Amino acid sequence: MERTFKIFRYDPEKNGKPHFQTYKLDCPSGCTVLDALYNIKGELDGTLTYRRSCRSGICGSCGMKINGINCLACKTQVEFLKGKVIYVEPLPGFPILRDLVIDLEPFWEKFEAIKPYLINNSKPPTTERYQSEEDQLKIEEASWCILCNCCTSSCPSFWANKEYLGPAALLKAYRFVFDSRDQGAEERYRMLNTRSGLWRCHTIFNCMDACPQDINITDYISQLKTRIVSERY
Amino acid sequence: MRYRIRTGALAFILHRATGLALVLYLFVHIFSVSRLANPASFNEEMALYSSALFKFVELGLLGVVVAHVLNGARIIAVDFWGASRKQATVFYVAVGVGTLVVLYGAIHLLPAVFDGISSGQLLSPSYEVIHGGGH
Amino acid sequence: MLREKGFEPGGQFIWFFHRVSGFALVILLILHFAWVHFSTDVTSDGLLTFNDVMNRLSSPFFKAIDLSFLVLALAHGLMGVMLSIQDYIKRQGLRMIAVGTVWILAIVFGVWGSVTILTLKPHEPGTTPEPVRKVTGVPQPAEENQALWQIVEDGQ
Ligand code: HEM
Ligand code: HEM
Ligand code: SF4
Ligand code: FES
Repeated sequence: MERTFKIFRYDPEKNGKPHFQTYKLDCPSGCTVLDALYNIKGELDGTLTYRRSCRSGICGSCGMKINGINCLACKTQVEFLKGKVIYVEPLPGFPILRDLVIDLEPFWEKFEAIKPYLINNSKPPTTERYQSEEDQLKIEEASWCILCNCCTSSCPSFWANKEYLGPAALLKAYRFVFDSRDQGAEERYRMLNTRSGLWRCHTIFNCMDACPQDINITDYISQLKTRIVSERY
Repeated sequence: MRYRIRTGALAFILHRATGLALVLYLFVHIFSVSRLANPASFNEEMALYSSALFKFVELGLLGVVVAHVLNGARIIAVDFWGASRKQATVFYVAVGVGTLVVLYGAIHLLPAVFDGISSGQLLSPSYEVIHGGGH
Repeated sequence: MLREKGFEPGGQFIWFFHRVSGFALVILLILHFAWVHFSTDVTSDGLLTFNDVMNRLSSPFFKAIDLSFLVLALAHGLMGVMLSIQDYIKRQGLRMIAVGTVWILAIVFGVWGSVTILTLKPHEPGTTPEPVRKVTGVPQPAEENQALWQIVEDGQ
């Protein structure tokens, strides 16, 4: 079936203005938006630039805004998209480097700020640090994150305030704060319990709608909030 | 293309807009309640509120209050009772309950509004107070 | 690295207070609506008058409830304004002006509302009660209404 793609184009090196370019393409059943981009790049226009790697929804490289919603291009099948025209744009709220490629530096910055690693000052045991199944289940779903940035870049609070840590970093903070083996909660609270941390989240749910891993992000953020509040009051 | 507004974002925009509107209402309300210091002037004001236009505004106010309160409950449910996965359903339930409450308000308020429109007297009170009279 | 400025501590109180006061406000708001719209004082004659309010507010208990309603609603609402300021106003100077304005509004309206409640005086003797009459009938000419209104106001 032939579909029309309107793809966001921008090349700062050629003094280009951001604009949409239209491509028409035959998409067989099962064709993903990423497949379509491959075909456009291979057959119609070699200058089209985008990020991808695994093309199977696991590396988190191909996050983009498709028909107004952030998602993975490789996990979105063309035949399920409604409307005559399919709009493909880079993830919003970040500096655009070229076409569909954004500068992820601000994303990693937030990520680092919440110390995304196990903090445990006790002597390492000779084996692994064990954890009960129950404790593992608390953080299992939160560990599914593939760092695709679909959530943070979908968040209106983040658009309004670029210093906001954003859902991806907060989710990772949950993953460690609620890890029974971790002792770094207080350190992380210093970043979380701030004007640019947890309290910029207004339960808007754009993050959960966008997340390709279907993680219950908002709930984990709320659990962080309630834990901090119940420890203080 | 604008980012698509789904249930959660819609609820947020409504919550913020109604919350800020209620703050403005509260300022006006504190002013109007302050006229209790002068009974005649307070009664005059209340009579004015019984006019068609103000009944209509009151219905709007009811809608704003109900929207904010019910969505406030939804937010609390998300935060404390793990309703996060069901937030959209909770939103539609809130819309349903809210509609019923506003309909109930409409049954009480709209007749006066229609009277006012049909008589062309939007600001004339439908009640008057007779000071100093006896029951 | 991240600018330290954005990472001022704080914010948890507003979040906590919004939820706790929200809970209390639901109850207070329902009571408020019941009192000003559905109490027999009001429903018997159709209009909320000074006397109807005084019947309730001459008791210190109801005054206390009204005061806490005032304080909670004002604090809840203005903290919501603070939240919006934190979200949208990033320039330091502008933010300070906005936050200052909110504090001034909180004090002005908080004091004004409290004074209203605390200084309530019952009707002067001889001016009560206040019968209410429904203005009925077909459209009345504006002048006629005006005249009626005059009498009502001047009445005693
Ligand atoms: C009566 C029941 C009420 C409930 C259950 C309620 C609930 C809430 C909750 C949970 C929030 C937090 C939203 C967030 O953290 O994002 C909130 C915010 C807010 N509320 Fe209320 N509220 C109520 C009444 C009121 C009243 C009477 C006013 C106005 C005087 C008001 C004004 C606001 C404002 C301005 C905000 C900030 C909006 C925002 O952050 O998006 N609320 N409310
Ligand atoms: C049309 C609906 C309303 C009417 C007719 C009304 C009427 C009144 C009256 C007569 C009073 C005087 C004190 C009393 O009787 O207890 C009052 C006080 C008050 N009302 Fe309302 N009200 C309405 C809606 C609201 C709403 C929606 C809110 C919440 C934002 C609210 C908040 C308050 C507060 C905080 C006070 C205390 C004011 C003060 O101390 O100056 N009212 N209201
Ligand atoms: S939480 Fe979901 S949307 Fe956010 S970065 Fe991880 S996988 Fe992507
Ligand atoms: S290409 Fe790896 S997630 Fe889409």
